[in-house]
Amino acid sequence: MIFGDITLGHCLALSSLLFLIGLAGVILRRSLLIIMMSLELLLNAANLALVAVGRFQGLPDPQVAVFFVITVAAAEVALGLAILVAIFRIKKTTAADQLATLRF
Amino acid sequence: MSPWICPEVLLVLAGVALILMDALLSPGKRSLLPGIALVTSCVLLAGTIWQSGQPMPSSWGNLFVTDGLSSVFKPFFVLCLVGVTLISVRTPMGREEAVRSEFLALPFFSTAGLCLLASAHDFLAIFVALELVAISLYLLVAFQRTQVRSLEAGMKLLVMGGLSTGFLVMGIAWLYAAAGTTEFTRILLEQAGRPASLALLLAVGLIVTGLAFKIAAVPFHAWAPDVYEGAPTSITAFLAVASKAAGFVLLVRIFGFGAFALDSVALVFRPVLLTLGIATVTLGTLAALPQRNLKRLLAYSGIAHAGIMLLALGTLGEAGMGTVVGYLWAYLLASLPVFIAIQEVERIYGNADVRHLDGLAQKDPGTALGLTLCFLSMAGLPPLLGFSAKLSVLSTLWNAGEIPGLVVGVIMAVVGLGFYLVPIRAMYWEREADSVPICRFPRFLVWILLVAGLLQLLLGLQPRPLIRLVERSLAPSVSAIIQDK
Repeated sequence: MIFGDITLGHCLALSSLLFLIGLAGVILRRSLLIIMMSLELLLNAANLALVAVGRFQGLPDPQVAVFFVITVAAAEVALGLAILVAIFRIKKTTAADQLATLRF
Repeated sequence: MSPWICPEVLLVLAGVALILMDALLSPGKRSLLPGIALVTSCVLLAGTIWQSGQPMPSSWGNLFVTDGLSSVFKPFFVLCLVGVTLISVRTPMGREEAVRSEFLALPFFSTAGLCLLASAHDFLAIFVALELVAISLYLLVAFQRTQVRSLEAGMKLLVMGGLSTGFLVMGIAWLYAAAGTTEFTRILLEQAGRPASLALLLAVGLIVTGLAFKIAAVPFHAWAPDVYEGAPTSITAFLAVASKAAGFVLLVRIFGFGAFALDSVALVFRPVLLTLGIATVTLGTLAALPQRNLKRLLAYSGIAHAGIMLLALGTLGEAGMGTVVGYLWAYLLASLPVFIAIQEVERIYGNADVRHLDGLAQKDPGTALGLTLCFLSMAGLPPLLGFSAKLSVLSTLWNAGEIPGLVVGVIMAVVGLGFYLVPIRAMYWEREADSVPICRFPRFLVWILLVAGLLQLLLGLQPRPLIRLVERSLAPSVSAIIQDK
């Protein structure tokens, strides 16, 4: 047993912690690049939970779901970076607080 | 007829065909593309209405169902596509003129995702369909890549959409942990009659949070006004109507028919949804009052509408679900024409400030009348359609005994009149400044607006067609029943 005493609870706790770190990153950080890294962290936390549930409950479905999530995350990041490059060309910055054209 | 001719397949094929045509047509004939896109979307709408209710080619292991809800909302989403294409055709593209075909084709893919969502019966299918919708939308919002406001809107939508995806996927993971499956019927069978486990409640909470971003419910609404203002108007319309409706169709499906239609879940989430509804309608209405940009105004008005629908949904009964369906149709019929008009204003003046409507009633009485009827319908004034919709929400709340929600709903309906009257006052009472060019709409758009306005009046006086639609949407799913045996 490679996992030793590690249970599903441990894995879900770790994934929840990563999820919260990612959430805090999205809310608190001011650089768009870091915000996008935090988004990845969010999705990977969910992936970890999916893999753990699949492993401990003997289900194949959640592990297949992980591949869906990885694909979607890659598409999102590709698009996000493209938008980021376009923003940088115009504004010469990637700081989120500089994006204040649309303020009431 | 082959069952493979279903709306989703045709929408994707049409989108691919548009992009290919752009590559293959000679440069002189490329100006035909907007017309082709518009005709294609209209043909698809006719086909979808004709086909609605026919089962999809396969349920792919019960990933998808064909039931009343899906057969009522596939035409809804394709009708949105027709409106969006009509606005896109009228959008001046500037430096992006060379890639106009992509601007026209991407909504087709997004609509294919929406139609899949209307049929989705498994959270994995929901995830894939939602991302098909969302990723096309990120691209479309940021499409005017030389304008900061468009890019900024795209970035904000992407970050918010990414967060929403994160919550949804985490919810799906916890759902696997709690129920071992994501298929709606199996969740229902597995969990019925049991007290809800903490993991299940966490899963429902995470999934509802993910969807709350999509419908712009408080406290996940902050992106909406900025994104609506920065996006090209056709895409704003798509976000405001189709994307919001998609969130509600999913909520109706999971709380009304499948997955979470459980007493144990309702016990916890009924107050949560009602509280969200009260907060959303209050904030949306109050924040809309000082707005003077039509797109931001409609964004906050959309938040207020979402709040009212959440109140109806929060009663978690069949009446509430039917009310949401009817309300969504009323919202679609009233707001699409307004977005068509906003595009014309933007085309002439460069932005959608409310003062550009000044004196419109003298220059163009037809447009002003049509727009006024649509705005008044959104405000919920009798005898227009919006009034019937709002009244059915309030009576649902009354029947369910939700007095706080009812009181807030009534107060906000009255306060809401204040901001819907802003554009109407501009059209009828303000004098136009001399320096601005004359705002004149093309004839066919004036007719569309007039017909839309009269439709509000006719359906308000005689809502029977809409009631039939609602009754049809509540018909149980055929394939899910077969699966149960």
